[in-house]
Amino acid sequence: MRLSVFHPVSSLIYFAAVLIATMFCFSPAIQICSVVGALLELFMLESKREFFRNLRFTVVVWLAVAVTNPLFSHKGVTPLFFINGRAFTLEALLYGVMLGGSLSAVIMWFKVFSKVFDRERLLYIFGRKTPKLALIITMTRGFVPKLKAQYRRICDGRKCSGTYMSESRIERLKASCGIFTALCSSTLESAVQTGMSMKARGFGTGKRSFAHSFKFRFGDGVFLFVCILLFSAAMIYSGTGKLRADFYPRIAVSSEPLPMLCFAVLCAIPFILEVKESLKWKFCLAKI
Amino acid sequence: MKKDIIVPAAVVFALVILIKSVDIQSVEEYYGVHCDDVENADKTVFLTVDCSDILDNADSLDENLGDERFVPSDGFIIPKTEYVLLEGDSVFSILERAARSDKIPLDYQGADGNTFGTVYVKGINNIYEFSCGPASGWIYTVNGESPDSGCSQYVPSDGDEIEFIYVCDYNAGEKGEDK
Amino acid sequence: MEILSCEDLSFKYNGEEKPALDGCSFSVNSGEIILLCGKSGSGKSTLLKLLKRELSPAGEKKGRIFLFGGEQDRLSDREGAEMIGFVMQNPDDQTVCDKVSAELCFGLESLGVSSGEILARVGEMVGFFGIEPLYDRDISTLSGGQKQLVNLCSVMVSGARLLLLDEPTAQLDPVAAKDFLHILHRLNDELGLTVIIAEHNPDDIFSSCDRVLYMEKGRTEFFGEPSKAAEYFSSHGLAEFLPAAAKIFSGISDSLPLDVRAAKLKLEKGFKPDMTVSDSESPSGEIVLKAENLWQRYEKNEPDILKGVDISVRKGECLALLGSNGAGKSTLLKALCGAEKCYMGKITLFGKKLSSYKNGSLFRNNTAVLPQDPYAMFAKESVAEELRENASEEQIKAVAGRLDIEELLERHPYDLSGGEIQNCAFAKILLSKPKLILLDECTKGMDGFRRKELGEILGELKGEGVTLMLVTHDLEFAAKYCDRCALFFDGKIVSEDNSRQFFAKNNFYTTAAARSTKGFFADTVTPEQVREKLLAQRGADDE
Repeated sequence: MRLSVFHPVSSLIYFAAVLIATMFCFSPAIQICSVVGALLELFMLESKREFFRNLRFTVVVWLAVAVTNPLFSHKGVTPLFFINGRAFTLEALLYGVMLGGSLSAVIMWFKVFSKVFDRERLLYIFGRKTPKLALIITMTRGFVPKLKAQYRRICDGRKCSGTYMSESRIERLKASCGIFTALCSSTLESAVQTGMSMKARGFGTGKRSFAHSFKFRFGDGVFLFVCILLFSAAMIYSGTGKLRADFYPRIAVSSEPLPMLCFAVLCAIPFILEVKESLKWKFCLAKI
Repeated sequence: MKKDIIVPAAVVFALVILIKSVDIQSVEEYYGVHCDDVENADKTVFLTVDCSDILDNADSLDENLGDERFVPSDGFIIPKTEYVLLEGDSVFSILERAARSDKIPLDYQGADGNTFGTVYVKGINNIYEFSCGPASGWIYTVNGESPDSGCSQYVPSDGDEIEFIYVCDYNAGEKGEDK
Repeated sequence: MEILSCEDLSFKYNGEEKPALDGCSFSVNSGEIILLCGKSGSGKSTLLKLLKRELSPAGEKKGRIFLFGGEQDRLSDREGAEMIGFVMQNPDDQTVCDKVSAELCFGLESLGVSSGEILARVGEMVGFFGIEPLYDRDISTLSGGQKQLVNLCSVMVSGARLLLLDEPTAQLDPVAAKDFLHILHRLNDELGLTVIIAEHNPDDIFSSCDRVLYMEKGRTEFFGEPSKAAEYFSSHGLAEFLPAAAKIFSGISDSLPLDVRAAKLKLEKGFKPDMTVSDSESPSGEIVLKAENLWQRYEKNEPDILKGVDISVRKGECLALLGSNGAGKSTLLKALCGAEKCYMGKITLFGKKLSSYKNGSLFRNNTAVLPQDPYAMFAKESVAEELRENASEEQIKAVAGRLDIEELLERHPYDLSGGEIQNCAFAKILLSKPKLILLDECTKGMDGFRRKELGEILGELKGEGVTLMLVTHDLEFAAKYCDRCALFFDGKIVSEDNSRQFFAKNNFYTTAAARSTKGFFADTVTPEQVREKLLAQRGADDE
């Protein structure tokens, strides 16, 4: 089993646990584990090109935060240099690195989340309790491409009648206004039709149900149990100050190996599962 | 065509302004300020930087600051010392000069950073506002009285005794916050 | 068993004088396919919408409707939604969701059916329709025909027993339309589904339906079997509703064949083969539009759409550009008027290079384009307002009279049907007094009568020296009203000829008349041409 096979509820709890720990345990050890875990999983899930593009973006965000922090915070005992009479300190720089790490870890985990949580899972989470919300999600997602297509059709129509081709800016602006008006009225018109179609198919006759379902299997239970165990261990340790980092005025980091290990395992679960599956495929299934 | 030039030109202009306005100094340069010799000066003032209030409220002090290096055992970061008073000096410029020559880290909010139009001292020697309880911070007095104006506006006169005092609860005393 | 009947059903829209329906009475048996015929505005849509209570328009209704053995009002909301399926004309307007899977589940979810049952029923119906490959796709990526199939499937998933279709193939190309009707027949054959379908193009369904219901001015004028209906149409001057095979023999023979097979048999039985070729004129006149070696693609990494197109149109002729959907015909049309840039090739219009027309001067009294979506041309509150933009009142009056759209002038463009808006858009184009008109799918959504009117107007324009080029799927229309036809395939023009030779030469991609007379007459491609030959033979026999 891999992360995308688990029941939506178990994977949602997993993501919540990792994100909460990443955001609230302020310790370099946790941030490093979190970033590495997310990176490994993303590496497995995304194409190489996509992965390196994302990586580049994350590194840029990270660096930006790291450099920006010491420009605004001048605390710390080790000034590196002075800008306009304010200290640019090593402590503030490292704090920025840490903050950037935390931010990019969260960004990357959300990337993983969007990869694993496809539309069906998302709708399942929201759809069971509030089918209306699920309907709004799916209708919006259906509406946007319709609007785009309609916009293109209207543009084509207008282009062909020559209204859009004038080189005068004011004329072109007027033409785009025309397109906008036409788009609005055609959208309203088709919305009325869509409403009729919904009514014709029984919308509003009673309580809506929800088609998609997922089975909660034994594996989900085990997964959930392990996640919660590791998460609570990491949180309890961090609550008792065993995973603590202070940057101001001097850097003081205490990182005990055990809680760190707990969190590292928690973050690496998706990657471990991913590797296990691909090994399984390589050694057993591929021989079929 | 003209518009095509305007945009890059504006960017270059903004960059030049930025680089011009940024002044980067190394640590040696920054701390390399020496106070003038008091013996030959016409006017002098006395400056004290006192954080002894922390010693009475050690419980609420940020534990990272529990070190001789930050809070001296006698409570004086700068004991009462005589400094030269130059033309155009304010209370703040005297403090800054003293801090730089003694290599004491000083952090402040510039006069343009707040609505009062004056410099606000946030931290001296890494002891910051709120470092020792939620109502803690730096205040200053001149000759034992809190002036109404801020520390970069107040112009001291010859022989004044300036004190920067760290209070753990500024509501307790009647001294008021430094401005 | 009777599944539906209407007794003296009348209906008047709020605020209108004339009734839309005026005393309709008929009954439909379970398992029948009923073809609903009538000119646009004869009340077909109104009748269908009244049968589906949820879609009933606001107005004054008289008479009674019986459904499934009881009065319409006695059906519960749920039953009404479940058992009566409705498919509208425009495939885009009916889809609600983003994914095909969600769309198919929508109806049952609305009815509150449990999750397991929904998936089972959807799975079954998807299998029946053979649309498994579409199941996971986004609806926005489907073609019009696929969307319409999904719409039909999602209606069937809910368990419809009576299916109402309001011109479901009007927006589809002929191949997709055939696929759609084929599925409809299967539903009828294999599930005994009752179908009432309004169709503007009778060719594909006339022979295979059980009964034809003809409406005129809100009244049901005729209701009976197709062969009887063919006789009725033939004797009442309503030949436009006949399939091409019947059109050939209308007035010549008493019993009318309804499809190509029957027409062929009838020809062989009663007439002599005649393979003489009629004279054809080779095109003359100056070249108005000339394109050489056009290459175009939309994105850098996408394949070419146009791959070296050469085309030329002469003054006063009408050229039809034929080809399958998505082949790039519309792109070519856009390229010819400069709305789409080509990366290679040369276009000359009226002897001047296309690029020398600046600031839209090409479109000023020179060239006009009728886009595929004519609604796009209208942004104002009423048709008249839009027309006033570039013409005086008298000019508008004259053009409106010519195109028979006087009654539509004060209406809002979006209240008009596909065929009506098409005419209004055409009026707007004529007002700019163009010398060259490019038309993109100009017969889409038009019934036989409107098509005939349009064809006649095109003929008049040609007479005035206007040059026409149209992109179309409509082979019958091209055969009848165009001088030359060009087949667009694989980004190129692969064959080009006079219409008559073009269709006579083709075996499959040709008109019903040409298919009926293949190997019998040499080059008859429209019912009129066949009739001419048959009548000539009759005359010779009588002497």
